[in-house]
Amino acid sequence: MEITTHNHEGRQELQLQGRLDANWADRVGQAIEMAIQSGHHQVDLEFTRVDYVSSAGIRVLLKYHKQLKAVRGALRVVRPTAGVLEVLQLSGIAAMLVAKLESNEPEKSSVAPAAPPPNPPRRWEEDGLEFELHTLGPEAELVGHLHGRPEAFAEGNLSASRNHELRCEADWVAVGLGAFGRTADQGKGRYGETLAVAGAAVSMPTDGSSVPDYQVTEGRLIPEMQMLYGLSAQGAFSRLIRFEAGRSPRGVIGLSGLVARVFETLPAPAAAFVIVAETAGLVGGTLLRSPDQSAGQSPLAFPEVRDWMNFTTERANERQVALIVGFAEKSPSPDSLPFLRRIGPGTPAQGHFHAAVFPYRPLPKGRLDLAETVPPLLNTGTAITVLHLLADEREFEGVGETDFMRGACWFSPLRKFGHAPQN
Amino acid sequence: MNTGYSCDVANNFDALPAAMAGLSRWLEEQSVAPAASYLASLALEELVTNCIKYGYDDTAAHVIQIHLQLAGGEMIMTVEDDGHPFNPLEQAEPDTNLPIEERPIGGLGIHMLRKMSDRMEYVRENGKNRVTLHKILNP
Repeated sequence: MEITTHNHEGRQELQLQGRLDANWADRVGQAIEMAIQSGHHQVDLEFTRVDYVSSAGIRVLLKYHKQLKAVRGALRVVRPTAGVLEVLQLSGIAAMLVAKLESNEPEKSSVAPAAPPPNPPRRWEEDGLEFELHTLGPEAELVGHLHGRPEAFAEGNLSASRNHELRCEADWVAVGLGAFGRTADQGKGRYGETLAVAGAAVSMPTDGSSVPDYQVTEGRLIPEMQMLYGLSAQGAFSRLIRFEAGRSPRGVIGLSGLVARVFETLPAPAAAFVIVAETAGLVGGTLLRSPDQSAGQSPLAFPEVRDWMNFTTERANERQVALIVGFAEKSPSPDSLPFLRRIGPGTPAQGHFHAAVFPYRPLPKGRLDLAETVPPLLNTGTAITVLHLLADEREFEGVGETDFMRGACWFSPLRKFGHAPQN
Repeated sequence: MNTGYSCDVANNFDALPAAMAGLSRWLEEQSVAPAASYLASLALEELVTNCIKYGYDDTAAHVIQIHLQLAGGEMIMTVEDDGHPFNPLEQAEPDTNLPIEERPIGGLGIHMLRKMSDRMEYVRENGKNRVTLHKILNP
C-alpha cells in the first residue's frame, strides 16, 4: 500500500494504492489520524488504485467516518473501482461514504452546511497564527470570588475546618485545591488540583489514586466541592476565540500568548477563561499529598516539596486534549495577588490556570457551545490527570510554558475579585 | 480447465500477508475473473482472521488449510481448521440498514462472503470446520 497526501481545495486527499486489508488497515488509519491531527476535518480517500477492501479496511473507514462526523467534518471515498464499490454497497456504507462526483469535479461537501451564525466571526492572522473571534453576548461578564488563603498552603496551615463549599452550577467556573463532597469531612485527606466548568468538575485526589475523579451534572444532581482555597466566578462568557497554530513558524501558541491576544480584544483589567485545546505540551505541577494533612510543615520547603508536588520536568501530554479553567489579571490587587502567578513570557498579566487532560480527540471547527463541549469530554474520555499550569522560565534548565496546537477559548471580563464570605 | 491450488496457513497474523500474496499470484496466473478473485482473497483473509482470533484456546501452532479448484466453470474454495466448532452460516446477519452509529462492528466479513458467493456451505467433520464457497466463473 502506498499513501500520498495532497491538499485539494481545503480538503485533505489521501491517494491510496494497493490493498486495504488487515495488513494495511492500521497504516491507513494512522494516515487519516495524522490528517485529522493536523487540523483537517474534510478528508477524501482517493480509491482509483485500491483494488481490494476487506472488513478490516471497512472498520477503519467506519471509525474515522464516525470520528469526523462528530466534529461536523466528513470522510469520503472518492472514485472506487467497481469491485470495491460492490463491497462497500454490500456493507451498507457506500451511500454515506462514497462521494458523488459529476464530470470528475468534486461535489461540495456532502454534509449540509451549518446554519450561518447570527454574528459572523472576525478572522485575522498574526505571525502565522490564525484567529477567529465570535461574539457570544457583548455585555456578558463574570463576577469573581476569592476563597481561602493560599498563603496558608505555603505555611502548612491549610485546614479543612476553614474550607469553602462550591456548588458547581452551569454558570460557575472555578479552580483551586478541592475535593468532592458535601462536608469538610468528606474531603479530608483527598484535597487536590480541581477545576469546575459548565456544571462539571474534575479533581485529582491526593489519597494515592492515580486517576482524577469527575462529576457531571445529571438532572438536579449538581457536583458539590469542598475547597481549601481557590478562585471562582459566576456569569456568562462574552466571546469565543478559535486559534490555529498549525501554519505558524513554531506550530504552537503558548498559554501566555493566548492570554495576551484575549486582553488585546478585551478592554478589561481581569478575565476568566475556559480553554479546550489540542496540546503541544503542558508545563505545571500536580499536588501529591493533601495539604490539610501538612500539620504546620510547609509543603514548599526543600526537599519536602518533592513529596508534595510532582512538577513536569519536560513538556508533558503532547497531542492530547486539555480542558483548562483559569483567571488572569493585569495588575493584581493585594487581595488577589496571593492567588496569581506569572503566566509566561507572552504577557505581564498574572493568572491561575488548571488543566484536566484527556486522550486526543479532534474538536469541531467554528462556533462552539461551551455547555455542549465540556460534558461529552468528561463523559466519553477518562481524564488522565489534572495540572496547575506553571511556566518554568528559568534561563537554562526551564522547560518553558504550556503550548497548544489549536483550540477554543471562551472568555469574559471578570468584574470584582473579592473575598467570598466564608461558610 | 481443471486446476487447483492449496496452501497451509499457520494460525498467526504474521503468516497472513505471505498467504494472501501467494493466492493473489496464482489467481492472476490463472486469469480468474475479478469477482471470483476478490471473493477468494476475501475468504482467505476473513476466515483465517476469524480462526486466529476466536478459533483456539491453546497457544499451540495450528494449520488452516486452503484449497481452491477451478472446474466446470466454477471456483470452489474450501477453508478447513481444527478450531472450536464454528458455523459461519448460523451467524446473525448484520443489519446494514441501521444508522451507522448504531451498527455493531463484527460479522461483516462473513456477511460479505455470503453475499458475494453463489453458495456457501459448512460441515463439521473429524474435529474440523470446513467452509466451502462456490462462485460461478462466467455467469
